[in-house]
Amino acid sequence: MIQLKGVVKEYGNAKNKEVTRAVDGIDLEINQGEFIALLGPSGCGKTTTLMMIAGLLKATKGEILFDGKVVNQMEPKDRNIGMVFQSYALYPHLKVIDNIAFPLREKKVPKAEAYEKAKNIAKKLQIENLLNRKPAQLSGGQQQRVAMARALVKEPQILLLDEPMSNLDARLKLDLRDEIRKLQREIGVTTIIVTHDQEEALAISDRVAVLDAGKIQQYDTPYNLYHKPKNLFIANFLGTPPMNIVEGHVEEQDGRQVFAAEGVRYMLPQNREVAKEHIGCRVAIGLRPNDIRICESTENTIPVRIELVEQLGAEQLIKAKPLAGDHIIRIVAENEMKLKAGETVSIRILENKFHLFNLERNGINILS
Amino acid sequence: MFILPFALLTLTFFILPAIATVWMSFTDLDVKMKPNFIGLENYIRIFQDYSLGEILQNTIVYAVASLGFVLLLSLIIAISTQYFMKGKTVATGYRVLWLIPSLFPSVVFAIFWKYIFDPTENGFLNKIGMHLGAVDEPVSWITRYAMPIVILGTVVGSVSSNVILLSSSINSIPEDLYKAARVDGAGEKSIILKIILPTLRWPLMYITITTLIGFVSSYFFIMLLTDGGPMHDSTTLALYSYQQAFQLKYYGYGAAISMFVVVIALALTLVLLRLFDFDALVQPSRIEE
Ligand SMILES: Nc1ncnc2c1ncn2[C@@H]1O[C@H](COP(=O)(O)OP(=O)(O)OP(=O)(O)O)[C@@H](O)[C@H]1O
Ligand SMILES: [Mg+2]
Repeated sequence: MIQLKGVVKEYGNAKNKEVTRAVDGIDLEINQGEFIALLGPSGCGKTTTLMMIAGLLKATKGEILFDGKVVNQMEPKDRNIGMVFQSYALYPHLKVIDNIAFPLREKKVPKAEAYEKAKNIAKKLQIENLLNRKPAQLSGGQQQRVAMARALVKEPQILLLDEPMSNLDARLKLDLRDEIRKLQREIGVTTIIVTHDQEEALAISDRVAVLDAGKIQQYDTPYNLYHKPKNLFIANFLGTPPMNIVEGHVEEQDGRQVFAAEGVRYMLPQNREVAKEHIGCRVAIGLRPNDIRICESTENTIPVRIELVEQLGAEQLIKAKPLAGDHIIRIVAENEMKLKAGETVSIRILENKFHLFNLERNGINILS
Repeated sequence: MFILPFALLTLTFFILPAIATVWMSFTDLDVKMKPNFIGLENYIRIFQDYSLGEILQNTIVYAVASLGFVLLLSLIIAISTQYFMKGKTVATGYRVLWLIPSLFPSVVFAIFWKYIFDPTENGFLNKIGMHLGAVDEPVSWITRYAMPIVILGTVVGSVSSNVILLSSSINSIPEDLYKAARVDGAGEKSIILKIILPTLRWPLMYITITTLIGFVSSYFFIMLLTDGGPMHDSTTLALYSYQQAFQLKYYGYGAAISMFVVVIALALTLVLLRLFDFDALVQPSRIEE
């Protein structure tokens, strides 16, 4: 088990004594054999966190524990980790087979045994036919496999992947992603992947830690992240097309609660009302484009005018504005619905699919 | 069309002098300026010259020892400043320090060495030595250690440009490579042997060839410092050719010796290119299936 307790990393700048806090107090627990992702926008501290787990960077504050033992001072080579870098970082002057055998040779494993193991892992990753090439003679996907083989050859306890697939084309990414997951299950190595590709993170991992500004915003299963976002940042960050966020407030009307915003009035279902303290606060409603239905004008629907219809292939994306408002609402609709720009329709919010965030309390989700 | 001026320039400044030298080496041109064609006589004379053995040996000792020290020192300085102390101001400052000798004209630099090793009690080394009681009376350093001092001066003067070349190559190694190596359990020794040195293969080849040829064919610095003395103790082939041609005015014979130097330099280059497996550099790096 890997544990991070209040880990902080500050980068000092010797010239002007300025300090950047790249990682700002991270708590994280990763179970044996688990596959987790560190996900977040660029510069949020993902790589820094990974480097601290690898031991390539020392934490400024906090503790990192492997199986209950503090490893802050332990050298990378003693941590029993395998690592794949975004740039693959293959040794350019060594042949593929020597690259893969390198970690074993450095551990003074006898030559014959080291090369035997290197060949076995190469077979597993289907690169046996490339063993005598130099890294420069390989395609990106092949280099990625070699890097993977080199990371796994010493049978590490922890596998660290820093954006391992960001230099590959979309199709190859999908194939490799499945392969990595399969391989990880097979050998049961605890794995941490750093990525800024949310689809990749959600698809491949058991749990995802979403980072922003050096802090973990939510650490949860892909299902919960998507369906039970803890705050507005998570809700906004995950999902394509992105969630609709409409700012307004919740007010009481005839004993019921109503979310009101410019051009939008929506009476909350009775089983999903908010606590009294949030009434009158600045609140945003979050609606996924998939959780809105276009329908006849009835009770508790919102009239909108269609501005734009975009074809997504399997479905269509509608951009509409409330008749009395000026914000765009994105709606995913079936292709069978014939919709045209300029048309006025009504939309209905699925009762158990909307979220409310209190903007006066850091955008915390007040319904979950 | 546009190449013409350059072609003419090349012709006047490179090819013609070369042809002239070759031609001169087959004549008995001397101070009387009345050349007669004498065939291979100058070349035969080289091999009959009783100083040839000593001078050839000096040339080899001078070139090989200087090269060895230059390579070793440049590597040590480049690796320590660009790898071990990467990004530190001290490291850059230290490299700049080494640049100083190459900034001065070699005349100034030679005077500096002359002052250090001056045989009177006013010489720097003698002063210090006597002050510390290490020597009782002034030592004629240059007379006694002509060759080592020449080599020392040469090495100190040519390290900095090589350090710059090597440092920039080391600097081009991506940081991730070191990180990967550290995760893979590599120690500093493995990092230097398996990552840094292979990267420096081509710069090292370039340095070896250019400095070696430079050492074989240059004489100016030795001339200033010892003028080849005492006797022929620090005379190299190039210096000997200069002396024959310009001090003794045997232009023909001097030309023949310089031709000999050129042949040696060419031969060395070819051998070294083979040694460094130059073919590998010009081969395309990607194999298509
Ligand atoms: N060596 C360094 N010195 C100073 N600041 C640094 C250093 N490395 C990273 N930072 C800063 O720390 C913050 C986090 O960087 P980090 O590389 O961890 O981001 P990341 O989440 O991996 O981003 P990306 O997705 O772009 O790779 C950034 O603001 C970055 O500018
Ligand atoms: Mg990064």
